[in-house]
Amino acid sequence: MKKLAGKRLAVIAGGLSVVLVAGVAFAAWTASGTGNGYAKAISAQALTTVDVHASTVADLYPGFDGVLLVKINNPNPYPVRVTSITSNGTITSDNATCDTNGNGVSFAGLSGAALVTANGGSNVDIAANTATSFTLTGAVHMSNSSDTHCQGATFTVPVSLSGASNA
Amino acid sequence: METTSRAVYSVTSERTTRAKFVSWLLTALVAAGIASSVSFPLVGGASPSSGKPAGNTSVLGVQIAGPSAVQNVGNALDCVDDAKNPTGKSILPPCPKSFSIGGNISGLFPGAHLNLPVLVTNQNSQDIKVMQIQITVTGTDKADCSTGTTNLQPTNYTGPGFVVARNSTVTVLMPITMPGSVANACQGATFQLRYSGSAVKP
Repeated sequence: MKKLAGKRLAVIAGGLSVVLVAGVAFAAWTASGTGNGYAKAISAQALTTVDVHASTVADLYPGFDGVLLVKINNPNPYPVRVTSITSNGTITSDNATCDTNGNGVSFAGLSGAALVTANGGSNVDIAANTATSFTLTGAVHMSNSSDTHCQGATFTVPVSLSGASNA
Repeated sequence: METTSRAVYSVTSERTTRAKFVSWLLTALVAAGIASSVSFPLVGGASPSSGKPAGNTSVLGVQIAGPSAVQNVGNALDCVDDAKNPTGKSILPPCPKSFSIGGNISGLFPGAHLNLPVLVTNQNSQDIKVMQIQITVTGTDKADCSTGTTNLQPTNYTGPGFVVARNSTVTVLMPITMPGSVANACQGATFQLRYSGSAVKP
């Protein structure tokens, strides 16, 4: 009986060795994870202009073109390139008689290459969250019919701005 | 993929009764998923099927075919599933079932390079080491704003891995980019993100 028990133990030990070998070979387990989320984009905020009348230089006279000084504010967190500046209403002056009798000042609008040319050959780029001034040469015209009371007046030119992200 | 490897173990059996014990033991291995089949090709001595072997011993060559899914063996041996251990008396640790991943971000804009905070929650009773997290953009709420990389570029986590302690949450920052060339239609869009990941025992 003693001899028989020893052999039974040998058999059991053989079986256990199978378990241990397998356990070592595949000791690492893995787990998986899943889930959902979202990423949301902002919407563009409109460009605006900043009053710059105090910075204007008198260079406009009847029959000639003059400078349009414009300061554009970009409230977006990314840089913007202005692609067009167009007229957006009646041009007025700081002299009521000038306007009543006809100031004769016009702005035809600028876009594309013409805008770049008017800006001295550079794109009208505005950094994120920044306001930048641009001097657009020859952008406004004063006709010969401009009233004499317009001498020394400062004109306000309403504009509409278009641009795109320039990141 | 089915495993075709086989291991051969020599077992000494005195008589048929011993062979029955071996059969019982190896059948249990099959039941446990360790082996898919067991056969007893005779190596030496008389065949059990031919009656009692002559002498005191017979030498059996025991062939144990490997299981069809080797990974399951590791799981079965290294930890125990809660469903199979309702009393919690097993000496093996419970198998981690899964972990959860989530995270949102707002304020994306053209050219944005932001860090997406991804929360990894380990609700298991064991620590895990997260080895990779994959982010897939599965949809948007704007018709002309596609899920392609031209509009949004999340970055996957590929290691070296980080430990999330049991029943805790870790936040990892994963870069996400909205290209400057993103479609105009993506203004105000919400991109649906799908997370998947894997972890190992630390």
